[in-house]
Amino acid sequence: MYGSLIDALPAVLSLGNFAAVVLGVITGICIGALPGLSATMAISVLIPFTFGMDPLVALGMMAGIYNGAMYGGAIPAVLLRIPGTPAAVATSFDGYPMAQQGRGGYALQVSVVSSAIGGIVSAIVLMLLAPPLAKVTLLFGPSEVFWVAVFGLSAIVFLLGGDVLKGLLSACFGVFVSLVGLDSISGYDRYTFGHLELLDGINIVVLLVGLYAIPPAIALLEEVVDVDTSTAKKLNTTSLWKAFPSMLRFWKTWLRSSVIGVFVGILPGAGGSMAAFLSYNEARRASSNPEDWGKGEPEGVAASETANNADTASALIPALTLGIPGTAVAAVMLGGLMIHGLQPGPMLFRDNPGIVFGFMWQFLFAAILLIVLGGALATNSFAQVLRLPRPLLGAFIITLVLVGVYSINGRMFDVYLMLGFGFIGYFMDKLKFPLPPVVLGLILGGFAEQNLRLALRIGGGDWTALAANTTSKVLIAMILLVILTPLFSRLSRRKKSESTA
Amino acid sequence: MITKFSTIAATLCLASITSTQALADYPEKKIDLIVGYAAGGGTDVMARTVAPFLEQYLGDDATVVVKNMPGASGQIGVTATAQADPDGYTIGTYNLPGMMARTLDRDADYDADSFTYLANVVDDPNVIVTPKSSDIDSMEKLVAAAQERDGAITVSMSSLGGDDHFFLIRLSEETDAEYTIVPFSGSAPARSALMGGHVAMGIINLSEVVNFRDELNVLGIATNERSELLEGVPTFTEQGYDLVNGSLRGFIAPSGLPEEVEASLISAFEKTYEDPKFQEAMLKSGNPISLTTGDDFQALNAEQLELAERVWESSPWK
Amino acid sequence: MKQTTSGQGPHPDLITGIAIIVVAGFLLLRTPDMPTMSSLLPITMLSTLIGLSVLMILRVFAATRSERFKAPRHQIFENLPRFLGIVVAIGLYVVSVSLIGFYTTTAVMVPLVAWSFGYRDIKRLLLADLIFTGGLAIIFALLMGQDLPTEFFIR
Repeated sequence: MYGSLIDALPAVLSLGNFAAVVLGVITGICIGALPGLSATMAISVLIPFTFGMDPLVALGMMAGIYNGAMYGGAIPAVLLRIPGTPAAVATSFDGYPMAQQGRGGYALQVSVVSSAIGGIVSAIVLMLLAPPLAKVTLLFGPSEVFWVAVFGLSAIVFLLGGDVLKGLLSACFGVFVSLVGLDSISGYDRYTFGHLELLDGINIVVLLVGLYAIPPAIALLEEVVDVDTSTAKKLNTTSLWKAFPSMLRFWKTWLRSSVIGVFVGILPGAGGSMAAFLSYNEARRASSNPEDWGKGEPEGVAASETANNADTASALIPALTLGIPGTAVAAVMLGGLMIHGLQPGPMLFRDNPGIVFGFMWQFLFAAILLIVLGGALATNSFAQVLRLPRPLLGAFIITLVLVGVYSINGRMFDVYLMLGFGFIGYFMDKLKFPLPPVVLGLILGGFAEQNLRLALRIGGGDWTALAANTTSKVLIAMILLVILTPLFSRLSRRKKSESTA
Repeated sequence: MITKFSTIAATLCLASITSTQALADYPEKKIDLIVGYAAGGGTDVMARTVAPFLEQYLGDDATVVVKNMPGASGQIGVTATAQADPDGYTIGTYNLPGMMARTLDRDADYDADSFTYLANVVDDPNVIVTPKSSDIDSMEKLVAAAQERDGAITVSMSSLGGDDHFFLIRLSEETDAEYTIVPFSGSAPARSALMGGHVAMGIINLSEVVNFRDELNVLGIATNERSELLEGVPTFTEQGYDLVNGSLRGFIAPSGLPEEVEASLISAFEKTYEDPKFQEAMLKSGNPISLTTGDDFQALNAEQLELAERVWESSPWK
Repeated sequence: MKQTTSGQGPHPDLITGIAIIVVAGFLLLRTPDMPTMSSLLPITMLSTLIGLSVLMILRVFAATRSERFKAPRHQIFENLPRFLGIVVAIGLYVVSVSLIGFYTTTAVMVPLVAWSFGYRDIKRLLLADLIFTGGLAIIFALLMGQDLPTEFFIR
């Protein structure tokens, strides 16, 4: 197998195929950076266009777009608090405060280096460990996946923000939104009100764009100082190479977040946002100064960005070997493979090694190229865009958002839905309802429910079947650990303070 | 009264003149081919593979543009085709039994009479698979295990109200046993749950098992004759179970298509099917092909609808 | 973040709470039709939403009586007329996109909106509009062959 890996290299390095990756990364960064346009949308628009192209050119562009967009999403997340992709929500927690403090340039540099590291680790894992990790994926049946989803949902506890009541309301809202659509287990349409467009559920991009991009766009037109582009003018960038040594202290976070990202990637259906949220939480728990997080801690940016890029290539492991994509983008990319007659499965590796392993190399090169292209593009070009007059920027954002949402399925319905979420988001923002629990609730709510019910069906309605095997037991132990440790530490701290008092 | 009649006659005449004029050199503008799924799915790949051949055999520099209208498991796309002008410039992909099953379990804006049936191209038969690690590696053992206790066998499949579901209902009748349905969303997750040993058996399609031959036991295939794609796998008929079923994919147009247009489209599909390059391309994408055109296709549709109705009455899936 | 302990009119949390209860209550009415297992999570979520909203409303009343409870009052509208103007502009834009086409609407609306909301440098405005709309047209119409809502003059 490793022989085929080397054999695939020359084709990847040919001019046309390499140029495709470079073009893909640049396109990806731009798309991720523009609020409203997402990698899912970009790749799905690209796919029909690649029919008839040489597979490696098409796949190289997709690998580039995927990696580029995962980093690109960080740019508006840092500068405007508008995550360019769902996975960049956690990046905005500390990235935006940093930008407000005039350290936006450094935040972007941390993002690009962390993204590249996550991407490189992920690509190497994909190249060397795809078949054994596919076996790990198979260990996760419905009951195990249910526990993983619960584990992800437990992260909500940390995302509640200052007002617990409002945080919980946000989370419930998110879970409820995830229930809209066809209930695949009973075949009943829940809350679709007769709209076929709602049958497949509400696309995460529609919700995310509505909640996160519309309120700042309104604010830009409203002339509130809440979203302040003037800080973007003071990016205070030094050269990436001068800034790099100061980032080396994040090595533990890079390592931890890469592992989390890769692991979440190989699980079916969870996705980059869950990877970023989990890794952000874990990094904060391990930090010596957790109270500074959310106020401009560069390590938080590093944690989120490493994980969401570490998720990219690893999400292709179940996609290529089993046909089950780890993320929404991987699902679209799977379509990109199938359109070239490449059916996922073990036979793919045997029948088309040149293409499969070439595709993996392209992921690696895309991740490495991020440092070169991302470093130059982000800090120089995109910051310029933010110098646009505020009303103009607001109008541009609304237009881009419309294009992005319309293009996902080519229909206006999604645009109306997105605007609905936009107005809900506006009031939530003003009333200080935290938005991250909504996103996490939408991603994991219905997902947890579906797997729970599948697991119950398999177990013949017996609830103990949920904890029957070892993988489930390990997961339950981990969940308890994550939830109980902070409680105990808080209790013991309180006791200590009482005893000293 | 007379004037009214003559007006109607005149309009009819005029209409027929304009339509024959339009037909004389069909196709004279681009033909939209509506696909009810996102780019890259099985149906989409079929449509994109067919499109260039169709252009070639329709002649006159015909252009066929594939338009993806994904959503509601194909229903949005097929509804759009049903409601389009029947002028031959909008055709669409069609899936059985799914599209007919939707007329039973949902308020569909179309029915069996809404279409002109052009050609069914793909017939992807059902197969029963079990994990490689499982002791159940033959139909006999499966049936014995299923009859021992109702619901003892858990069955993973891609969705409710699809070909795999109907196949299971018929299997249940044939073997006189009850199975526990575990509907995943999509056949790949269903197959993976099976490979991980989380369920006892799976019902998927031939095209989805070809790339996983070594990882799964295939107990049988629901065709009349054995398939070249899966050598050494017996049919259910051979094993004494009357089970022939599968997922069908083809092409339709709105009902009321002018006869000349219908004829030229069907003839283009027939020529496409005969083209060895087309057969090779379909084989490469793992699609078992089998051509049924025009009235035969319509009869096939009626047959599938009848099966769906029977299943819906005896055991509605929602 | 602006906070004022006393303000005019009802507390925003109160209005929000009531709105959530009304909507959730309405959605709850649809659950009896569902199969039991399908309705389980919706019922749980909607009841929790109602319960939490009740708590939020109680908190508002408690805060007026006692210092122990806090119900911060956040200002919603910086400038209500402007906000309504934006809502109307966005609505107009979206409706017009589906009626007369994407590129035409964008080319007209972007400078119009930017001008009405405070950017008055007409020369630059038109240049920016040209680059932006032109850029979108090049990328989506020319390079990607992507269909956005069709222009009224080429239908």
